[in-house]
Amino acid sequence: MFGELTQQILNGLVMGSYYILIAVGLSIVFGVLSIPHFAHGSVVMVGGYVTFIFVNKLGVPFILAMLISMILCAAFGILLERSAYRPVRNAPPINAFIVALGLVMIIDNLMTSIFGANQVIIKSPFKSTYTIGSAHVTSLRLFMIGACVVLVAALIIFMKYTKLGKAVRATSQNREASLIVGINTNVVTAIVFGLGSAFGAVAGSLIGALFAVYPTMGTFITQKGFAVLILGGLGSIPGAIVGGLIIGLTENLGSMFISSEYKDVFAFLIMIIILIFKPSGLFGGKGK
Amino acid sequence: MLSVKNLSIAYNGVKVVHGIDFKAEKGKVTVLIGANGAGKTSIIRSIMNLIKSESDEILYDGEDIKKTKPNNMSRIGISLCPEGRQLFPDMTVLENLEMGAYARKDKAGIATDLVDILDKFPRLKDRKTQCAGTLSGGEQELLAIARALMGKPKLLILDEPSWGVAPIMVEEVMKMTRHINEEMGVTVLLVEQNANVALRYSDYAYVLDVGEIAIQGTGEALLGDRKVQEIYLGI
Repeated sequence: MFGELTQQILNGLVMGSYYILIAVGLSIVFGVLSIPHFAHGSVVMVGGYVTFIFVNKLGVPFILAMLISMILCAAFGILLERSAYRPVRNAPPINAFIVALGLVMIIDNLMTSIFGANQVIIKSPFKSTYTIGSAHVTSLRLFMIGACVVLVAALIIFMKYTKLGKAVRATSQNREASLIVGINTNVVTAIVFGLGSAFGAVAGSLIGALFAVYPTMGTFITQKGFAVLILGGLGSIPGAIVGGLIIGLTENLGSMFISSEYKDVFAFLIMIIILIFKPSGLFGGKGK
Repeated sequence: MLSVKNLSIAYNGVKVVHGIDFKAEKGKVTVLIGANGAGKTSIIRSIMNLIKSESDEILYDGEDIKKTKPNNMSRIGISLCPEGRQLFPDMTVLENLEMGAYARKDKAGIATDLVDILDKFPRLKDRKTQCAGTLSGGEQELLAIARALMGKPKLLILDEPSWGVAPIMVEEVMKMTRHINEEMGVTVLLVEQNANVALRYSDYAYVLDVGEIAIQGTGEALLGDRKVQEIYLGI
């Protein structure tokens, strides 16, 4: 029982790290533009495929392939914003919402027609298994946790101490005031899309090595990402971190104590319960 | 310093400002007075290019700024202290001031100015690590002015600084404005609804009435003007 519990907590931390990597990107994008970037899950999926091609087809080492995927996805994210979201920036919010849904359909179907609907698994170099107490963990899973900790810590330092990071925070708090003090908000927007998509590429690459990637996975990723975001409080980075951990742990502990058939129900159940008591999410302010 | 010719603004085809002319003389405090909806904020926003407008020319320091992007205004020396203050509520007082100097590159100059400004605004110094959103209305207004000053402006535009500020603080804000003009040599363009206070602290005034300039003159002259008294001072 105790061994099983440690195992599930460890698995929960791994999945939590995965959700955090996804939700942090959604969160900074939402903070700056207030748009529901539903295509984020599709960017994560594309990131997985890029790594898959470089590792499985071209024989590039995993870490290098993941770095390439981060760069390409950052560019892809910036391109999505410029070509799809920017034209509707001053339109009613419903337009960005519909554009986002359209993007998901385009990207997912394009990927299906290129790669087929089947799952692919990225070859991972992290094969060794460690035993912690009575729980077992592969080095790939530890790498997922490590990547999340390092990247999120780097993001927090960037946002808190660098001039550009402060400009990102300023823009998310007041776009017009940011313009007035001289911030180029288009550059800020590109930065958040680039960073968010690069984080997504890491999530997609690692989940592709841990489980698999397939063209329609994006929708599911976006759903989970938004569950984390809403639970933690829209636009809040600490909210995305705590929200990701809560959902990762609940899923795994719920599977252990109740049934793994309801694994995905737990995420949304816990979200609903928290929203009943704190409608703006755990770290949400009074609403914008 | 700033000269606006034939400025018109329309929202969805409805004209709200009808071809007005005005000037903000170098080294002076100029005020635009008008009731709610007279188009004051629209005028400021169109000078800053935050909204679309039509005009013959908008000259700043002899150069046409009709096509200057809003985020480049602070680089050429125009700082706006906007209506409703528009602070960064979840950033500290200190961070808000730092953001005010965002467009500047002279690190040493920014550091000295920060010390100077905190000395000028002791209320802000006491609260420098507090988030801007937790300050009182008057303190927020002072912070917005201080943030605008951190951009080291040649022209400071203050949009409705008495908005949401306790009456006792309104005088303080106006005194500060006069001080900025006289001691720091900054040209000020002030937009106010509170005509009584604004006229006392300004050199030259324009009175706006539904998108047109109805009366203009020195602050002193308008304070004694019957029409201004009737309409705006309620005497």
